[in-house]
Amino acid sequence: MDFAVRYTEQQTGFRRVVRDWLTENVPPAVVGSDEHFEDLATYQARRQLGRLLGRRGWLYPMSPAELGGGGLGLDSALVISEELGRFGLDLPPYYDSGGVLGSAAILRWGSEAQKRRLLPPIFRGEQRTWQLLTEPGAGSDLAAVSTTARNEGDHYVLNGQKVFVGSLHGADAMWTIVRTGEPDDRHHNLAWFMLDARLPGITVQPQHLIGGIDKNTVFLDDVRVPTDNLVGGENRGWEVASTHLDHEHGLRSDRVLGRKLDELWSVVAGRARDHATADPVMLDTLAQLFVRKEVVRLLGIRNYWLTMEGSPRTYEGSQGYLMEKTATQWAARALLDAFGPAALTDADQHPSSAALVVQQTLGVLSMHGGGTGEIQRMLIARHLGLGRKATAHRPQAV
Amino acid sequence: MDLSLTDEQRELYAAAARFVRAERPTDRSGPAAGPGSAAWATMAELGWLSLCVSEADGGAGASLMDAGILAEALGTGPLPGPFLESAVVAPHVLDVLERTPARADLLGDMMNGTAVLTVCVADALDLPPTARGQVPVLVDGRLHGRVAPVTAADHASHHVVVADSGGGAASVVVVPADAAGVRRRDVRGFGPGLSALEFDDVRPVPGLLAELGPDQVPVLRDALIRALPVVCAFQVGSAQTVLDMAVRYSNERVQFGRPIGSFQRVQDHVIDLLNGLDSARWSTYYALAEGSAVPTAAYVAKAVTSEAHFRVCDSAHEVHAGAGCDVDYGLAPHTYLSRRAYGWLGEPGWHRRALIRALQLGKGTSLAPDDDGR
Repeated sequence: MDFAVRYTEQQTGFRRVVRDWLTENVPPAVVGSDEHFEDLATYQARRQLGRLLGRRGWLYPMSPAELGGGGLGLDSALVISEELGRFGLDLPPYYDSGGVLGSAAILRWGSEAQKRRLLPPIFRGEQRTWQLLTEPGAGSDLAAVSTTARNEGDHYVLNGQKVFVGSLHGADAMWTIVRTGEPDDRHHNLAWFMLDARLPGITVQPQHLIGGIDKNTVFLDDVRVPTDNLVGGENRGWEVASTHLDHEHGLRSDRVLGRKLDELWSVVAGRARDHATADPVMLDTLAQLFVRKEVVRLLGIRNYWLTMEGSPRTYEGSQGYLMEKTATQWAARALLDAFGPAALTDADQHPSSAALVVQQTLGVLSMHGGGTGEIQRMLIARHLGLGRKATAHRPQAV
Repeated sequence: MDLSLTDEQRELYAAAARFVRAERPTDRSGPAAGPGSAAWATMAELGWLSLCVSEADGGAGASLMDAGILAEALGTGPLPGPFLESAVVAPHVLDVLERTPARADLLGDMMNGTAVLTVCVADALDLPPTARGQVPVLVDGRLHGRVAPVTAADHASHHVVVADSGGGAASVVVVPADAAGVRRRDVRGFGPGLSALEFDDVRPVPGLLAELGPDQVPVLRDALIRALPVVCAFQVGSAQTVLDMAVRYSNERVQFGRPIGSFQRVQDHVIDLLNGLDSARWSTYYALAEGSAVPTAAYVAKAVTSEAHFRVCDSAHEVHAGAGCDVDYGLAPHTYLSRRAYGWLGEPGWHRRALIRALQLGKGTSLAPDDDGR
């Protein structure tokens, strides 16, 4: 058994190329900047970096080259992701989970014409995409969405409200699941649409979350969407969504080697050393943080390896995601235990301060986004076959 | 990166899992695979008692991973008897002794199954032993004192004892179980097979003695720490069986007209169990794969595995309720093991303190493991 990611000479060469290119092209403004709080000019600098990466096929490195992706393997994608990580950047270097998840669904369910039309703008960084899933009345029970799409020949007309959408500074495109069938026909009454964000009838209203994070409420009022933006067919939306929900629940290759807790640990360890703490309770809290982040890291390596091997996975994606969520939640309190009220602000200007502050926000938000901890537990239980006999003929709750 | 097992490791696991299914007692009669039993002889023949002994000492000199895979399979029973003490930890401790003929004979006898060794290291890795139990002392070459609880001592032909020599020094001595002045008695405790040992002016076996000055004590501690991941693997095997039992029971047991596994509160116990098992499994595999190349890995593995194994059994008891408490059901041996192993060679808190030192987190800490930063 060998846990080290080993690179061939060719990949090591590729890393040098990527590193040199990034050193030359990463705009200084985005290094060390927190995307959640930055101004429009910095966001635009991120987008420009995205377009430059996109031209080289490095923005969506594993996506098909003929559609604007890189056509590269997971190992090369990992190199790009790791090298961006040296600048504190993710891949893509701006919030684009709509592009990541939406493109996976379109690749699986879209017609050839749809793939050629809808995917290149995502893969080349020309468009930022938001996902419109949650509604006021449909969160964990996503299949209960009440936004509707009415078929009017060459158009569908969409009406409804979506919440917890996107981020700062808008989007170019959106995708959503809406109801096309009868309300009672659960899982067989939905449809998946890609929308141009500039369509008349779309209103974006900021939604302010704890910790100063900005999301949005999106209102759809008689939004006319061309029929050829329906992906997967009428009433097949749940199947299409299942593709990206699985993806989101821990199968994302960019998450399997998730670095967030590793990054947190490195600044926390530095702070502990700089402050030369001798308090045994505080030190034990830090040791527990190290142990927990190691467990999350090792489960991530397991999931990465399963992905590389093409092995069938059952519960592992949701398990890794759940354990990362709970460790993130736990870490927020642990940092207050270890460092006291100083962990709530960046007043002391220590290199760790910003990460400590953000951790308080993540500690609350991370449990909910991308499917709550409870939803991950339901998925694990289903994969283990718990209570199977009694639930075999029951409607699926998710 | 390759997290798969080799074909040989898969075969070893399968053979050992088959063996343990055949040997596991289904009643409360206690350890079966002890010395003199057909099972113990089979284990010797198969070379399973030689895995942790170096080739120079006539053993298999297997990799930590191979030893761990065997231990994991035997833990699925869990195999009762002195396997971990005699065939895993004792050879590591004897590593610090001079290469004498007596040592070679003892290891040879251990590997062929005629000698069975217990290891008396009090209840932690605090060396020199100061501690919380009564720790034997070595005075003028004679062993005095008591140590309890000791596991597998009822099977032992020899006791490997870590003793306090005073002034920060420690000794490793070997005493025959039937030597004059050695008294063993069963002690009533949580689970079977626990003993108290008393040493009254006992003369250790000549040629089987290591006297470690304060600066050499870390060598002994490092030897014990090398054995840790294999101990953890045994616990992982046990936790896997506990998961299988909990999943099966939650689907078979019907209350309120439905299998209890359909209730989310029951599901949560099983999921916590699964998460504990996988945390233990992957931190253990990492420690087995890296060995001393990543000094923190063994500490993390034991901290995670001890805690996970304990809680895995708690979760399984929640799922099984009364049925799991019946000693004839089969969960109890795992629960006993989880408690015995919790603090054996260091409870989780000890290993977190070791991590603090290894990571140089606190004031005055250093990489030297004996630098007491507590």
